[in-house]
Amino acid sequence: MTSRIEQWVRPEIRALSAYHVPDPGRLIKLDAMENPYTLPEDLVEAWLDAMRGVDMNRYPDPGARIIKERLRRVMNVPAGQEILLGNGSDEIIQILALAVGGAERKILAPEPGFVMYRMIASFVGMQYVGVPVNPDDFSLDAQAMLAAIEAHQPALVFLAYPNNPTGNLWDRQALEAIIEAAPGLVVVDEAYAPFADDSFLPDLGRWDNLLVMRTVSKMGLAGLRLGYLCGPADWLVEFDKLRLPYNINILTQASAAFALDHHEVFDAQAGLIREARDELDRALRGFDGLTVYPSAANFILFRTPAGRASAVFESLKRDGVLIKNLSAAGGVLADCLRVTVGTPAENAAFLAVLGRALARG
Amino acid sequence: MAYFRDNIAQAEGYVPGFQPARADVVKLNTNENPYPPSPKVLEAVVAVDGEMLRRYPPVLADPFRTAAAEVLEVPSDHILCTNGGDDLLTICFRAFCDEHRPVAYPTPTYSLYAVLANLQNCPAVEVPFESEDWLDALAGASAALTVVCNPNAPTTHRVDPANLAALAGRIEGVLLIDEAYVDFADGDCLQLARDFENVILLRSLSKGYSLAGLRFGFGIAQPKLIEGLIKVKDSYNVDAVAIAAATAAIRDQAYFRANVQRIRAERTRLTAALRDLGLEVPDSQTNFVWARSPKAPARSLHQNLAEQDVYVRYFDRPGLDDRLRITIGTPEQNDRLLAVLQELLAG
Ligand SMILES: Cc1ncc(COP(=O)(O)O)c(C=O)c1O
Ligand SMILES: Cc1ncc(COP(=O)(O)O)c(C=O)c1O
Repeated sequence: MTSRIEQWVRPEIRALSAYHVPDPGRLIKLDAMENPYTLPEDLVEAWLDAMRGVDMNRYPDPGARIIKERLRRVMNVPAGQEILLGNGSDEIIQILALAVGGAERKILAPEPGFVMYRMIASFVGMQYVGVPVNPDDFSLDAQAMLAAIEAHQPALVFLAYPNNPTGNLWDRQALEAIIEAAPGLVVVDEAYAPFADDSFLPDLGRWDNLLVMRTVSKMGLAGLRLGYLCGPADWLVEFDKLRLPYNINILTQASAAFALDHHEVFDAQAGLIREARDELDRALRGFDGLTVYPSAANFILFRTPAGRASAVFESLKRDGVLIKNLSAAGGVLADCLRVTVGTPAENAAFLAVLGRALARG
Repeated sequence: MAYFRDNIAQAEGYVPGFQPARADVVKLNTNENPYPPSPKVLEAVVAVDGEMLRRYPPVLADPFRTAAAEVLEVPSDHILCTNGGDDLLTICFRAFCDEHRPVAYPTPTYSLYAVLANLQNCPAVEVPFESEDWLDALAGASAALTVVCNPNAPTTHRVDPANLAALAGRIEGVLLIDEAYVDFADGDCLQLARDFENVILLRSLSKGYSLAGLRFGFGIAQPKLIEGLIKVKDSYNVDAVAIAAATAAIRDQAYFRANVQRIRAERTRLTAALRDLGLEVPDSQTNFVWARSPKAPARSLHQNLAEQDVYVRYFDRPGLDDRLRITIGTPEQNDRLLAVLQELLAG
């Protein structure tokens, strides 16, 4: 058989196999903003013990009281503010959109931003208004935001803080002005809160239209699917009507309660990721021709020399590192790539092959 | 601005059955399976590693799709995994219905349909099962989505698949057959999902697989429908631990069959015993019975049972308020129910 292959398959083709995309299982995955650290062995054991005690044949507590109580305590949710849980942030965004939706109603968010805001607007039949950020540094164009809010009177404004895919925190004063100007709800989406130095959670209650949304995904539990929304009870009572009564399964409830009881482990991991991010940022700035955008999240956006992003992305992939290519959409993200912060070893591997990728062109 | 849409501001939301805080009560009110799931499920859960927790789960829950495809003998692209059967219902209402695209269903039935119609703000055509021509009425309703719960909750009866096949052929829209309780029935509608491009089946692991806590359901339909529904579902709607557990459960068919068999055996016994106490109990194709007591009002029976730590479901709605919905428990739980009932009915 081998000899027949050698006989018939062109040598160039046979040689090609050497360049095949590595088994996706082997790729260093720096594309999805996942936490690179797994739990310590003893903690996994303790978690499994907690799982063993769960009555899986019973419906879960529809109010998920154990998680809410711990979230309130661990995350310091201000007194008087309520919590709504979702099967991931997606579900919460859907619930919000359905609650206020309608053909004439609008969702407004800075662009580029998290794609689900736009997608969910279209699922529920709302109009989506994207307000371009300043193209040079991806900062918020506060004047444009306020003008758009005035013109469109959006039912919902989403502000990812830090923003995905750009990684930056918006100017706080601008956000406060937006919250004041918005006729409807303003949702500050703090999916990346573990890596940022600022949060609107303590500000809840200052405005009656402010909501803060978070997730356990980026803190290291993306496999679990748990998002939460904090805000005034009057709002959350209405949203709760749209939530399926048993949306958070019993294992997730037990796992999240367990994780929150051991939050210091996740806090420590977030600390390591922040350090690694700052180191990665410095290293990326060392490459000629790259523009690196400051990040308060667990990923970094950078711009390659014009027209090179896709080649660099493919070259990295061939060398076993998967990141996110954002250049296809063009516009302000032309030539942009996004890398999730991994372990120091993963980041070093990424930097090594990045050097090669840039040299290749 | 009146922030909320009118239908939301006025909505009640779905009211789940009461969950007693204590574990030592006889809980026969939410149609759970009284037995634990297959031991393979816990094995699969404790085999989950930290790696699976930190990563996003597979978008379509492929391991489960593959396993279910083998067990059910349908291609895996006919399967859509959801966060409980309820999630599939929500996805279907969002995908098919709006102000101009009604839903139709025979009543009385699972109360979530009316709740979802209201939230989605679509007209709901309700056709009583009682009426002679309910199938014709459904066929004539011009609904975008027709839902038939089969076996039906709470009435426990089952419609002949041939009638539903005829219905599927007559309607323009989609026919969703809610088979949440099919594990306990004498037959299913799987062939309809293979034969008709407008039929989707709802299945749940909550009942026969003893996994109500896990929130795992799935739809079975031809790929054209499944692909459309994928666009509407949340991007990662079932989590990594649930996928591992559900996959182990559906692979253990031997446990599943034995589990269902003991419930069916108890169903026969409980039905006969309740009839002996003077209750009217139709033959059930589900894991609960729908019992009417000519001797005492259902409302007070339900309260008196609860006072003795026996919980059954009572619906305070015209047409339903003369009955109790009683989930089949273990033999011991059923004995306790029967003993308390006997006392109450004698007194
Ligand atoms: C801004 C933002 N919000 C929310 C999410 C999604 O979080 P979850 O995993 O809870 O659905 C992401 C994920 O990428 C995100 O970037
Ligand atoms: C008729 C019917 N359909 C669907 C469901 C949903 O089941 P689950 O969401 O637990 O899978 C139920 C739950 O009791 C039901 O009674």
